[in-house]
Amino acid sequence: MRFSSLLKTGLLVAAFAALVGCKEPPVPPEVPLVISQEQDLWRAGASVYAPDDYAAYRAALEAARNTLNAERSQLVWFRDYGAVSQAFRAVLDRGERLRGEIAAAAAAERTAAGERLERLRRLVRLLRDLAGNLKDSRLSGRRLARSEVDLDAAAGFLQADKLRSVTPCLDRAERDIQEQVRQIRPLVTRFADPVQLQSWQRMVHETLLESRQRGRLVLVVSKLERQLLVYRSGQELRRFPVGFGFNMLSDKLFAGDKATPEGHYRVAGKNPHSRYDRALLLDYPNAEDRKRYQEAKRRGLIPRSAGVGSLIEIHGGGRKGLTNGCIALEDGDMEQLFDLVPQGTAVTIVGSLQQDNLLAVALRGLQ
Amino acid sequence: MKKLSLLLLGLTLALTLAACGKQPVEEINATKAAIDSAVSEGAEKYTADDLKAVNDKLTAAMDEIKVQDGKLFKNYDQAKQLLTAVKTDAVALQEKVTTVKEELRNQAVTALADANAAVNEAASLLEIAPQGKGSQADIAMMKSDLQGLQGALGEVQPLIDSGDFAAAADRAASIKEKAAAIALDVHTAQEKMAMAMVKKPRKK
Repeated sequence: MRFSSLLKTGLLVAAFAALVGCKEPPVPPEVPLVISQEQDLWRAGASVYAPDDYAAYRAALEAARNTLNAERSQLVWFRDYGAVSQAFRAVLDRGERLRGEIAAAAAAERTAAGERLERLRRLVRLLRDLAGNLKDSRLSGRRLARSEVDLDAAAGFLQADKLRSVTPCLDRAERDIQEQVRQIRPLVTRFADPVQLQSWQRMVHETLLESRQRGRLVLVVSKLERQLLVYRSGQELRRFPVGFGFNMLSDKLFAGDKATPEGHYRVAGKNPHSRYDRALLLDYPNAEDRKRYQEAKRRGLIPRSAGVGSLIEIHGGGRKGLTNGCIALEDGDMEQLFDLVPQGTAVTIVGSLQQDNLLAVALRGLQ
Repeated sequence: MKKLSLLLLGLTLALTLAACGKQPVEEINATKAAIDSAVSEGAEKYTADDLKAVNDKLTAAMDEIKVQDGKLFKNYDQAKQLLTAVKTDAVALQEKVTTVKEELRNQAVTALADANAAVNEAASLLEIAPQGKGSQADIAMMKSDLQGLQGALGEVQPLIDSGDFAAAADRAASIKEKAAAIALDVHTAQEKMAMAMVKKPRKK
């Protein structure tokens, strides 16, 4: 009887508690905030930019969730979300620090990728300008076009904020550009070499001295500046724009190399009925050219069957065309030059007249 | 005796209530399998946001299971409902991944075909480009550029094969643009040449 009344009392108390105090307390406001924060961090690329800290954040979140779950497992009357609130608050704080870390890392990566993209684009522009200005086929190349495709792709990824996709494109483009630079460096290095530049200046100086001392007309051709200068008695009389061959950056070594020779020459003959308007035949090869040719042949640097070459002329036909090593002028300019120049005139051909020439500057940019 | 009977009845009832709720293992496994299928279809790559949402819902369902695990009187009904909803989402996600993938693949394949056509057109034009002395150098450079584009074109199909459709499409679009620029240059040169021929008086 006593047990029965105790049971009845207990059931009554339970029913009362269920009616009055059984309302489930709400989860702390930090919980939904953290869940939303975790999604934001994931979208911001936390696993990419701060993988270790993000893993620690996830572990802390997991622990906080377990605290919450454990508390929710309790009977309603015994639930206390104080510790849960504290745990989620700690996660929230950690997440905010992580957010800053991600933003800084992403911004740094974006800036670095942007700068690298711009630097590579500058290099490509430089190489394009060189190829366009000098018309030397070796300065162009399929690698440049391929690197431009990669740079376009990198720019697209950068704009879409897919930073991790940018780097592989930039890496590929840089490899192609570096290979292109490596290939052209031997061609252009001598144009920045002070000893070589002094040697060319000395050659021109000697020619002008002869012109001054003997009152003669002389011609100076500067390959890089693409100019032919006419001097009389050491004074500049005229200057004409000129064009060269496919391989104008090289000094001529053998027949068929499509390079224009560098050195002291003389006008050996005049042809008023040239295929290219009018022509002044130079006395290439001279003794120095033959010596270099023999040396190169002995060292196996040129094809065994290749001759030293001949018939290097200054002719008309237009300077924009590509010659096989001759120096080409516009027809009108050639006619004026032809009338000015007697047979035997000294012609000095050099790589460049300027210390800070196009290639010297470009080479500095390619470093 | 009566007291003892009541006590035993109470204990039996309590044990029955506590044990009747079993973890919904089958539902968990089925839901995880559906998510795994979406992942193996490429959800991480093509519909990462949707996959994240599904995974978050799964975490919420698992939390509910953990809550019930800790209770004396377990009730997994809500967890089961949550798991069913997650599974439905995962199945829908798998279908979405297939659709998105197919769309992206089609875009990439079309972009590659367009780029191929542009490169071929530029190559054909370069073959018949005016070969005057004034254009030799430019033609040589354009041919060299075209070779580079042909090389870059060869890298598009492997990207498609590896499922990198967006990168493939971007790359193909860039190649197409550059090949079209070469074709335009040749057209311009042809037109200039034609104009020059018209203006030039014939020699007698």
